[in-house]
Amino acid sequence: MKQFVYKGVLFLSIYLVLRVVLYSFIPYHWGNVWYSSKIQNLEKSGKYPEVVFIGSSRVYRQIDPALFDNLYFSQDSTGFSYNLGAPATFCPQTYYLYENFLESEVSKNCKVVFFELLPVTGIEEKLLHQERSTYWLNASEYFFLIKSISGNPLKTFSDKFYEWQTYTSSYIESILGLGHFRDEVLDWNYYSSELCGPELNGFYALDDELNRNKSDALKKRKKELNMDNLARLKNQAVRIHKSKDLLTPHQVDHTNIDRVNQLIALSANKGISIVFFISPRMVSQELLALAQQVKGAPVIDLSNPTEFPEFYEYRYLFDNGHLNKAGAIIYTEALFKKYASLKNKE
Amino acid sequence: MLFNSIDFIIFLPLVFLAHWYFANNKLSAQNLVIVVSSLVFYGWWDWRFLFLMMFSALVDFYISLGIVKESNIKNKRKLLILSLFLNLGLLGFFKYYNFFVSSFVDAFTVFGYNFDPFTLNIILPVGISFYTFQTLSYTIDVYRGSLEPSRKIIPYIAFVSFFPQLVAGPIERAANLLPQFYKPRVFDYTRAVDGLRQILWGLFKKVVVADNCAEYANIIFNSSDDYNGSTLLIGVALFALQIYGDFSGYSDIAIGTAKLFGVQLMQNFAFPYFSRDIAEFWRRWHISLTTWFRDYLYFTLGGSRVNLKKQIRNTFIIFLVSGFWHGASWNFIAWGGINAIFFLPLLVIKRNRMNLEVVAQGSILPSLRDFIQILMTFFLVLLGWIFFRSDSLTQAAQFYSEIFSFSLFHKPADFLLEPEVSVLLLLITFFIILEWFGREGKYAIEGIDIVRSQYLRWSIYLFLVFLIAIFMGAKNTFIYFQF
Repeated sequence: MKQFVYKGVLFLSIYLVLRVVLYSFIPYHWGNVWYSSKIQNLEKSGKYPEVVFIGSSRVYRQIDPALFDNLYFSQDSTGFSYNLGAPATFCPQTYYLYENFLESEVSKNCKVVFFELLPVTGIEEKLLHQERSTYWLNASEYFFLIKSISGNPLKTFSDKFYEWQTYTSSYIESILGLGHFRDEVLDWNYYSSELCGPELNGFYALDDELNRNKSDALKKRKKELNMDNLARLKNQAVRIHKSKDLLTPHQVDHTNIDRVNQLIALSANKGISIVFFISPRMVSQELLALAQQVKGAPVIDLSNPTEFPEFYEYRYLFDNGHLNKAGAIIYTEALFKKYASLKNKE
Repeated sequence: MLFNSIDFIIFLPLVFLAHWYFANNKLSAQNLVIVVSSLVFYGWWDWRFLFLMMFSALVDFYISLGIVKESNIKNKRKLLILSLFLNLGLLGFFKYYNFFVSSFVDAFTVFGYNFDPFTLNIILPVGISFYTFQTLSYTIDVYRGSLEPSRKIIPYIAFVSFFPQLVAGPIERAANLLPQFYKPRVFDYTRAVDGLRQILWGLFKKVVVADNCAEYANIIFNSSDDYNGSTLLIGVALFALQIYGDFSGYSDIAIGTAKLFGVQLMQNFAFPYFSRDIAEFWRRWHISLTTWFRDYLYFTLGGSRVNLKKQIRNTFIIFLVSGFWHGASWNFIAWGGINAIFFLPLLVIKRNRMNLEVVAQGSILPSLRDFIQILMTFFLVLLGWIFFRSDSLTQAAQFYSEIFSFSLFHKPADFLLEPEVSVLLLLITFFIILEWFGREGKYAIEGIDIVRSQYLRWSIYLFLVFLIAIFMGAKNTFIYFQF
């Protein structure tokens, strides 16, 4: 029996060692085709941005670097910004990508990073067993997640159990390479210029994608735009903002806060200013509590419907979760204005 | 949970450790671990299914005890009929209710009567066809006096619910499986290694062969109107490999997993595509089901002891019922029927018991005659699979009309000439070669111990593991879970 278990463990160890060896040859971003294409796009051009935007599809579809550049850089400047947002790229995947970004050549000119602040959440069911949910899940990220989920006072036990379960099974999938090995071996350097947007600056409005691809999935999403649902989200956001003064430091995920502080310190070491922001329709009590505890870096809150009612207006929306191209313009302008007012105060 | 899922990869080692370490060779503890883990395994699909399975199991447990206690033959028969009624009734309701209602309505439509069918939104419990037949065989064997009923509930539940074979077989006989839960199981290193090896081979068949063949078979079957005879024939051949890889792969994983717990299950597939005639094919395909029908239906109808006319009748009944067991659809019945038609000539000329030994036994290559017989038998089997896989009899007819036309000699569809298909072809060739050279064992790589060097054996295992990891993509459910 002992011999059987010993040999079984030995065999598994050999397999894992071979996987680690293989893994060392593939880039850190291999499982996120949007982010990966953008990094490769920058590497191919040999020009690296001074400003980057990092986050989920609410960055990818809603922040226009071309507009931001007109506002931020002077006319004779050669600097430019770049949108590194990607769909379904949430915390802590964004942390993982950013930390690796800081170590890469692509960050060498970077001065400012706009980073979408998000709480730690579980993997959505539709994203389970997909490589983008697991490629970044190494031991360090896994233990961060378990600690964060366990210590979060705002999560119920059943939420915690679900998140432990999904992240544990995803971590094991990641270690064993189940379901993703083929892409690791064959598609690790997948590149598509289309994913970088029409201007190749990383921004791809949903309207543009729909016009180009005529995708049934996007048509369906647009059709499902539900103003009743948005009104509900808007009211909820108003309530959350009204009650934010009642939040206490005990109602925050301290593990996540510590990680955020690490990012701030890492950025400072590289001479980069990191600015966190909260996207519209993503706000929660937990997120606001987190934002309140961020010290050492500004947090721009774009989620308050009282201050930004336009982000809940039909004319600026593509679907229930994202702004359209017209909405992206006012969103980018709002982000810049908020940032500019912060800089003026300094 | 699927065998090729992360949930099972976590589940299996935990149960293994609980069975061998914590149960510590105590029979009651070992059986309890088996029962609890099996209920967890089955309940993972849907906890509601557990009630149905337990009902079926308990009905037969107590009826069997009743049969043995009864001295009156008529009362024994009544109890048996009650068991048949309850078990087959449940199976009939969950599996066939909507089919009968729809067919009934369709029949009336022919005469010009139209009315809305009262069909129900019934979920088919996973594995119901398998465990129902398993518990029925238990009751029938007790009735026939060939088996003593279990007096203890835990070993009996372990027999019914044993997770490796619960949802897709092999359909075990109580005489084989139940005694294995009456005595403590002792860990056997050689058997455990053999079990792991068989699991590895089963995963290879399912993940590398079946799922990759399925990708192209589905393209062809989903748009069969667009393709010519040669493409359709390739599609059926790919489906043949898919269903074999899928089902025999599952059986290998089930048997291998059982070996890890010191339990021996019956062989369910014996390299059926190397058969030299259709009778041999049916002795080698889904052995647990075909022998079930032989022992509990064919022999009951008289078997081969009756005159030829009745033998023909009995054969037809068996094949049609077997087809119907697979699903509530006229396609499956047609599949059974066409296999009966292929089988009958052999029965009539009394050549249905030829070819009992392994083809080209002891030889490296088959003789020309064997090779031609294998190809012809495979072609007949393909003609049957057309019905099995098609969405309707109309689609099956379309397949037949194209395959038996000159379009059979036209160039296949362009997508079959892409480079990815050559990778698939390479894998299929590799697979067939291993199956051929392993055909004298219970599974293809059983005899790998002839490779003396452990380093070389482990390299082969690692190669298979890497192939499985590379090709394990979106999980395709095992085909036979729907039965």
